[in-house]
Amino acid sequence: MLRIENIQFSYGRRAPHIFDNFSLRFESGHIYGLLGKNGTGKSTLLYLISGLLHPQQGQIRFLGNDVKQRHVETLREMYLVPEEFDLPHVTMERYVALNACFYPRFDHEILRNCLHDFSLSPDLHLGKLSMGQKKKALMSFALAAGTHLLLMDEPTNGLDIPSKSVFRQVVARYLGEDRTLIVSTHQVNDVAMLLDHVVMLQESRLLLNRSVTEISEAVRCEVRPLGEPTDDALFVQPSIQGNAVVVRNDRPDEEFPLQMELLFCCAEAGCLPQELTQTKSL
Amino acid sequence: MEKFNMQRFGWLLRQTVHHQSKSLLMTALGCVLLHLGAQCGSFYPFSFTPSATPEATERVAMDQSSVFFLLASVFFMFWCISLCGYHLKDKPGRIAALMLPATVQEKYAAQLLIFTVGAFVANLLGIVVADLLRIVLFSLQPQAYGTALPALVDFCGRMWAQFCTDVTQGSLPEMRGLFMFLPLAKGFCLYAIFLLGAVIFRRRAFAITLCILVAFTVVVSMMLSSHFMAHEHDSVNPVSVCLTLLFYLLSGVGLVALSYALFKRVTLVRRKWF
Repeated sequence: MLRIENIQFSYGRRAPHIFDNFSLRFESGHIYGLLGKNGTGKSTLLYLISGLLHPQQGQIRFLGNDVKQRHVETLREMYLVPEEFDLPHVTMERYVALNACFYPRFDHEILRNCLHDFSLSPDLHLGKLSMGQKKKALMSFALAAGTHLLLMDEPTNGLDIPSKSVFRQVVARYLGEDRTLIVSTHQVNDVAMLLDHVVMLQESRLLLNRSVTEISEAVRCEVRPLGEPTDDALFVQPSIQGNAVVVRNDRPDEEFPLQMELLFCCAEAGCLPQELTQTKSL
Repeated sequence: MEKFNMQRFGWLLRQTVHHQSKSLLMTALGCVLLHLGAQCGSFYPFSFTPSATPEATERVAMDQSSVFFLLASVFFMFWCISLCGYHLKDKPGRIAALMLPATVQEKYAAQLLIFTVGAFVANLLGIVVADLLRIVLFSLQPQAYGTALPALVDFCGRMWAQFCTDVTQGSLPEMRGLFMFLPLAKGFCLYAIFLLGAVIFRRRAFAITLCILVAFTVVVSMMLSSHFMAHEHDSVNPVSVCLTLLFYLLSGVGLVALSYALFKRVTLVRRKWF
């Protein structure tokens, strides 16, 4: 559905390359988590996917079209919820009336349900909302737009704790099986339970690109009391409760919740097994 | 090239007007204040003392107000066209504009239509409102004058008649048609310059474009002043008239095309020119 082929990108001729000969593929019907430290290029990758930035080399194709051309049929099938945005000073009803027409599969029922779940009134005025409320309103519109591809850049920034939980419920309930969501975030715990595929970036290269199922089959995370041996651990992170460890999963029949933050630190330290970090051919 | 969709274009126009309603309203208010200021300035010297020759004084006052109306209109039209790129001034604005499912031609045409035709309509309404406000403000003065609108229409008619006479009695009466088009061609070229400035500079586009234009005009005038003085008494050359007209027209078209090309190439990250 979305193919990124050998792209090279930097923010200026003399600036270091954010991406160099970078390739990646996204399939439809999945929720991808784009994880990485600050400055690794997560947001830049989202902007490249949405055609807001153009790679110096390589191309990005969405549904067979080069996103750089910004064809109407491409733009109609993707929606970006950016980290920084501005909404006009109109009512939500007016905003929907002015913008929904551009998206042929816009669903007003989903919009109403999302606003209700986010505890927002359908006749709210966008100019009188706080930043967090505006974000919830925009995410409701994004989910209702019905686009094949939904991109969200730091969606939980600015949301209070209950709203983060509502965000996960709303996405799980209204995203739809044929739609793809790519979430770029450094707040991994906020979206961990949503993801079915993890993409980790480190210094413009792909550190990890595996489904949650593949990761769970290969490793498991657990907390061992202090004093218990950790020789078999791939990665150890001490904490007050004990040692949080990542070990090879020798019990594939059992289910263990993945601790994304721990997994991320393990991947950053280069301690993941080779079968997870090997680049898959596109 | 993608097809231009009229329905989508209509949605774009509607959306642009609503989303930018606040700035459009402020612009219209600015137009009224501009014309009102010009009107007050033109009628102020004549309103406080009754005149010995009221008819002649009134004609002078009305002509002066007409000149100010026209100057203010030109200023306002160029100001408005400089707002074409204002919605691209910051990152959220560029994201919203670029991600909207419409073709580049539709987005560009929508901006042009609103800030050209819309500005023209706003200017006409601004003239009417400013005239009414001036009448109210100066109604208690010793010498109060009525509406200046008929005088404005008459003034424009006299200007056009005088221009036609000058052209007909000039050195090349057979080129009258071309001479008529020269002011229009110059105006179109100026319009295109401010449009290009709007796309390049976005924020404070009018001020920057005006400064560059004035500086360029002064420099070129200084460089060519000796040439003009040497050829001051030469008769007008048909070829030079044609070339001048062609130059302005082609420059205008070229600048509009360039502004469209730059508009099409807009990305999220702003290219730093300075």
